[in-house]
Amino acid sequence: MENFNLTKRANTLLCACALLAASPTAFAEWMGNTDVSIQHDSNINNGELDSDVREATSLSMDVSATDFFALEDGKNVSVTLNAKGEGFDHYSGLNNLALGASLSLRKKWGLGPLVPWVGASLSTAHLNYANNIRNGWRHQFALRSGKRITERFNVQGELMAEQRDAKPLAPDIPWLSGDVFSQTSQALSLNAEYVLNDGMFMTVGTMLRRGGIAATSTESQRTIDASTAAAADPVLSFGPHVYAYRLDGTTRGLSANMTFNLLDPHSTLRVSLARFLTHANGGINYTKNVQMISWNHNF
Amino acid sequence: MQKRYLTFRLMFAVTAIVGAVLSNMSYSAAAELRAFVKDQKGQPVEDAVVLAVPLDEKNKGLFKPPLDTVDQIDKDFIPHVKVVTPGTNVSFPNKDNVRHHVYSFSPAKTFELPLYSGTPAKPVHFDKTGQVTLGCNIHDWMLGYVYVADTPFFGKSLKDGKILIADAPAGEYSVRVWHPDMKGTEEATARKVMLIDAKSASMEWQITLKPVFKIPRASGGSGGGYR
Repeated sequence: MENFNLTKRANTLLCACALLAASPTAFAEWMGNTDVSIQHDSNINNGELDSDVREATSLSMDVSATDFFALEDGKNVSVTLNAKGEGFDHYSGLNNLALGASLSLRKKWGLGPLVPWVGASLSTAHLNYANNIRNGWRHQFALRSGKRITERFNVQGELMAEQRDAKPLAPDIPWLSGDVFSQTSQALSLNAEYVLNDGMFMTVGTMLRRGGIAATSTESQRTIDASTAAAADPVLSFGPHVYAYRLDGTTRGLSANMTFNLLDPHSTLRVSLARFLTHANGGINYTKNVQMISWNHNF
Repeated sequence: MQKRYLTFRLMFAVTAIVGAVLSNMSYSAAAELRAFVKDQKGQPVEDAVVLAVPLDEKNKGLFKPPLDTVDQIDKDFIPHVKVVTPGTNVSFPNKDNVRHHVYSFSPAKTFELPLYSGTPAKPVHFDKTGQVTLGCNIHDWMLGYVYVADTPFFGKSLKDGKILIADAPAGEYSVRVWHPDMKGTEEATARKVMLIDAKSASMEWQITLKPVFKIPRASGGSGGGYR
């Protein structure tokens, strides 16, 4: 029932975004954005033991259209519709298409590039995987704030609450729910951006996330005891007795990006490195490294 | 009778030739100044402004300021540097399909054109000399300059670093260079030159440019996603 209500709310947001985006406003600006990236995840299944850890590389393309409304007093509203497709080298069941919409508000406290700003966004997306056990809705609410300290140095922070709603799976372990992919989490991230020269800037960031995690690993009593849900995972099935578990844990992450302005001011190339360390209930700890290279073009 | 007629025709022709020569002389009497501005690496500097300030009283106050424009195209100020004289009214037409909010905090002219599209009804009146830095409160990376010159005799360099100030009256001038990214003061670049009628003078400057750190259009994001 709760899932039905959330889905209904997500559909309402999608419809509202579509209506706002379609409304003929003289001062609205349409912006298109394309992002193509290759990402390597050293631990795609969030496994703890070396024998469980699986790496994967994915190619993704994200296309979005934003209707931007500049309002008086430094406020603006934007509505974005986006589609992201992702394909994996192994584990074709993880190939997915996410269709979503978001509504963002932003306010600058004054005039000029160095004044602080605050913002909020509400977004929803439907995730459609090649193997449908992970299918579902992802809802995010974020509060953001930032300030450019100088022309070269910019800082911003974000507090995000996320809820994922998937169709509950049949429980394989009698006393545990099969609803592995329905999760809630909260994340705080801080980023600092530094312009190195006219065509290059770097960003370093840190994040702290608390909440649900889906980890696929070989069955063990320790993992079962720490889990709040478990189900067979045919997508990442790298051996017998492999299950997807829902764990609660805290993830700490560090990231560093280098962004290069390409031939024109509308294109950038970004190289990102990130490392995450997760401490889950039951003393289950795992790490993952994510490397990404992406090309972005806005028009 | 015929002799008198021929004499009259000859006098008319001589008068016409002398008149034409004199007229031509007065047309070409103005002097010109050719300048070249390069940076610390010897590369030509774009958007350098060379200003020739007449030192002779007779050459001052010869200019009537026109109406000028600074466009906003593809979320940039075009031109990046606009040189005007005191009293000029500058219009800021918005040629993008999004509203802009143009402002300046500069002492030479503080103004704000709140959110607008198209051409604002009233141009901005620039009456004090000096540098006016332009920004847009919607698009923080937009940066432009209006330089209000204290002389009507100026020129702005293109990519080749070359500047031509034509039709300057003969006389003595104090000539200097300004660039938005220049290290040091423009006064430190001042030199005197005597411009002579119908002749061209050449000058060259080497200025030191500060590194430019433009606000990026894109944001850095948060790196690899967590799943």
